[in-house]
Amino acid sequence: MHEASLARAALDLALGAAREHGASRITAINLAVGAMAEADGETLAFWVGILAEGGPAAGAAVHVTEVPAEAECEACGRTYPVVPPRWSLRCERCGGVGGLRSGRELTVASIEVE
Amino acid sequence: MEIPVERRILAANEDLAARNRERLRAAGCFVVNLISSPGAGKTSLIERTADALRAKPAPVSFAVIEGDIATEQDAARVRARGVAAVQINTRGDCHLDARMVSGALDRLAEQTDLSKLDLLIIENVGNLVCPTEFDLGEDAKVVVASVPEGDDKPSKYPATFLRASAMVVNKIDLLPYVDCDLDRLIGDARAVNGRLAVFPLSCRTGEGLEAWIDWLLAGARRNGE
Repeated sequence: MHEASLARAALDLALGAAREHGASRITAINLAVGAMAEADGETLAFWVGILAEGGPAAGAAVHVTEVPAEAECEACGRTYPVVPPRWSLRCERCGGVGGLRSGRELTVASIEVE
Repeated sequence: MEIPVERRILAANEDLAARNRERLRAAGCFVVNLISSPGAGKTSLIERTADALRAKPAPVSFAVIEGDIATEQDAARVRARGVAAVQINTRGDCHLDARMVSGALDRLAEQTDLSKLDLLIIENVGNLVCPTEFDLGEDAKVVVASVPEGDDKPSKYPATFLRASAMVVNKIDLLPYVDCDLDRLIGDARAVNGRLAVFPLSCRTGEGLEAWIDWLLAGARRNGE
């Protein structure tokens, strides 16, 4: 979903952080993308690379950590993965409603600079 | 040297959405973001909602923000029901965002007193994917599914159903004519989101509409306090 515009926003965050620290060259951008964030990590990394060309992050490695979707049962506290095909958050132990603890991340976690 | 950033990529939209939310909460308004595939019946639902609210003994101040790629058709339909409405034309953007809604609120303020608004429905661009990711400042996202779309949408679009507070299943009058297992649809939606309020209804026949109206009014009462 809109990987190019997400990539633009991610790159701007990275460039801003580099500027704040007085760094002139970014060698790596580290992103976190959740399994239920509706963004494809590889496509996102590709677009960040394209948009970074000619700037302080040109040639930077773009690492995407995929964060799995995990739920916690509100009734019994059990934690469990949320996966296709059903993406069910229902607790199989007690039938309770689960809340998503992870899996919706779409963040710039860190950058590496010279 | 590694520099931690820990910033959400969509933070810019979230900040604008928070400002919209503050503005509407100050007015005591209940705000719904209506999301669906094209043609599921969002505008029809708004028309039926307008008719039902007008028939209520206690007046409800209701307004609508319409979102489409092109044309003013939907805002015109809503205004024909006696409801203040502004139209956003995104000209290609497949979802509304908080900046667009902020501008629309300014235009709406020229038509109606926002401080007296009880209920605002924002009809998003027809799209079951992207609107979910863009907070507009609403209190509740409502997904409008429809019977002819079949019963497999919750598992195919899990994030959309996860983030919704309620699901309307429109066109239940067509159940005898199309392949849609309503129990499976509702079951799968509740598997992804155990708290989902579900409203099977028909905008055409009016069946099931009252429960939807009651849910909206309960939200308006809560926010009005």
